[in-house]
Amino acid sequence: MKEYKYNINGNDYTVRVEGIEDCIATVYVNGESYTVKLPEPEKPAPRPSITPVSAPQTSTPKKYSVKAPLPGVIIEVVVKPGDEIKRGQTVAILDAMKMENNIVSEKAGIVAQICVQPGESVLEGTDLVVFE
Amino acid sequence: MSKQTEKIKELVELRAKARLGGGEKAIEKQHERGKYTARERIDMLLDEGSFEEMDMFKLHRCTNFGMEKKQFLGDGVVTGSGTINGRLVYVFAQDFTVNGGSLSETMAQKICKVMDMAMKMGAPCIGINDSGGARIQEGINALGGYAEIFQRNIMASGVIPQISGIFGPCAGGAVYSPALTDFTLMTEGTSYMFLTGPKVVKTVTGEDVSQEDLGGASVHSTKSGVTHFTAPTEEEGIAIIKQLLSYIPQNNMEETPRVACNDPIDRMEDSLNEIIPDNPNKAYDMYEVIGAIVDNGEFFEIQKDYARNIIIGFARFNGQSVGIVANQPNCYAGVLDCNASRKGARFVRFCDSFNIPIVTLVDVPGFLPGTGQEYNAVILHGAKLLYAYGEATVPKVTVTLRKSYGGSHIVMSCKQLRGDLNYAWPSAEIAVMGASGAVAVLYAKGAKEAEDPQAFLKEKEEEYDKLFTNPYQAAKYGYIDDVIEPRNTRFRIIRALAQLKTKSLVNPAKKHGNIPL
Repeated sequence: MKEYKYNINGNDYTVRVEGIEDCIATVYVNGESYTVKLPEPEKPAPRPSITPVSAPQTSTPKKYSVKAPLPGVIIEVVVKPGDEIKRGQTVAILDAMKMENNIVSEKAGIVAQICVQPGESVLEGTDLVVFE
Repeated sequence: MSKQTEKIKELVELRAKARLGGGEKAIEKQHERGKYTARERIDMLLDEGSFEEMDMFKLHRCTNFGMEKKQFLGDGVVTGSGTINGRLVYVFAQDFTVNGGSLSETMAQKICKVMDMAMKMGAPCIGINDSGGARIQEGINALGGYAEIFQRNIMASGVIPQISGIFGPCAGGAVYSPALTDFTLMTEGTSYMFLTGPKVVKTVTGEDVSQEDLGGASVHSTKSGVTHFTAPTEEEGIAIIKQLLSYIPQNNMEETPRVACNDPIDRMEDSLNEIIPDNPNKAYDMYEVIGAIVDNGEFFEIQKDYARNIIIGFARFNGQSVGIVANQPNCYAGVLDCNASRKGARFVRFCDSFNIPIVTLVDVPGFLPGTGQEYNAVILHGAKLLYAYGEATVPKVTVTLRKSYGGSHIVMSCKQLRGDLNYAWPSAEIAVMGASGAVAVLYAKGAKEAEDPQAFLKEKEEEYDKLFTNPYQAAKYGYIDDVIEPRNTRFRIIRALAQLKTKSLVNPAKKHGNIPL
């Protein structure tokens, strides 16, 4: 338990807090026991329940994205949102293992979003381009 | 009609009945699914008229759940022997028209019989799988049947080539037989393989997944690497199996089949002198190199859509079949990772089991760094490839085209792993690590003290490049036997293989090694 030493008007007091239950604390002041009532803590405001504007739909299938197959640095993204991509088409060039690697799409689709910038370091599995 | 004629008539009738499998209706249904019957498949696979069937009249012995009334001659599998291009093979084909091709104790006995015959005769065994799984009515006897087959797969491994065609469902324990065999082929859209099907997956993990997405040919040829080949149709699948057989011997005691070669052995390929880009950061296509050096440009690739950073497959040099292992700079810089290592290692071991020389084409920047790889035990997977090369006693010819750095240099059939003849192109960079990495370590202190650290490091990098990133350091110590002109590669490999024809090397006697699995 915690012990505090005070000097009030030249007198020494040793205060030992024995225990606190709800708002009642048992303290010893210079060996003598006192029961002290503490001010009730303010109740925290109830957390407003968050209703997202667009609730995430758990059942929608995951969108296809072209991921970085290995860690490296993006040299160039060669597609832009709205582009129609064929299977096997290069979407980005990644500098990895000291080589410029063409990163190709495994599926056909339309580009919805570009997730990376040239010069950006990416890890294996990072989304590069997301399809619609 | 004499008694004898009557008996013969009975035989003819029984045979006709057996040939109908599950009956005309069931055959029609099978055709509707876009699938052939077991007998049609065997007819496509074997030389015309060569099929010798066994156990046509065998019946199951189950009486549970009214099974005694569901008797079909041959019990759901067609087995026997025949020839493919004149070479003896043993085959079994599961018949989906009989009780959904479900595996009974009897079916397992029939399969085991042809496997035993294949072992005795030293001939390849080809299995066509199209089965709903264990015959539940037989209970533990069906399970025992599977285990009998697996045990034979294991004993035959490395003795006779075993090939599995998956032409329909293959689920549950049944998948382990193909997994144990040397090569697996799946038909696209009509076959699938998984240990637990979509229904079980749904109840256990809540995942909603289709049969195709869980275990179709598209999954196993790209993501898992379980299948070595896929085919859009059964006809094409059968053709692939036949072509595969043409590259491999009958058993582990025979040499690889040779074919006549009409491609000049000293054919110069000038394009190879130009194929390596001047910029070391630019990739090129290793398929072009392979196509330029092998007989008639014919390369029979295995697992072509899985771990594409390494290429494996069969080709011929002067008519002799060889296994080719090559890094692919065009895919992920040709880096070695977990999957590429496993893919390469299994192939090297197959070649070594069946006396097929190995030609290795090296352009590898190193092992892929990162937590993704280390957590997945790239150490152990890389060690598999290392082990496989080091263990192999077949002729090993290695050509280093460009990069060969650090650990990956060792793993890719280096001289000390008993590489017989190791060549390098003048463009080869054989070193412990790349210039920038090495200089950063070697001159860390010097750079701090230099006036212009960057210029200092650049100068040192150039120095390092001149000294180490070439084939002559390795050649100086005999780690490379010769530096060769790229356009002459075909001729040099053929001469090397001719020289190594009588190679005799035996590993120490042991029960078996302990490859890091």
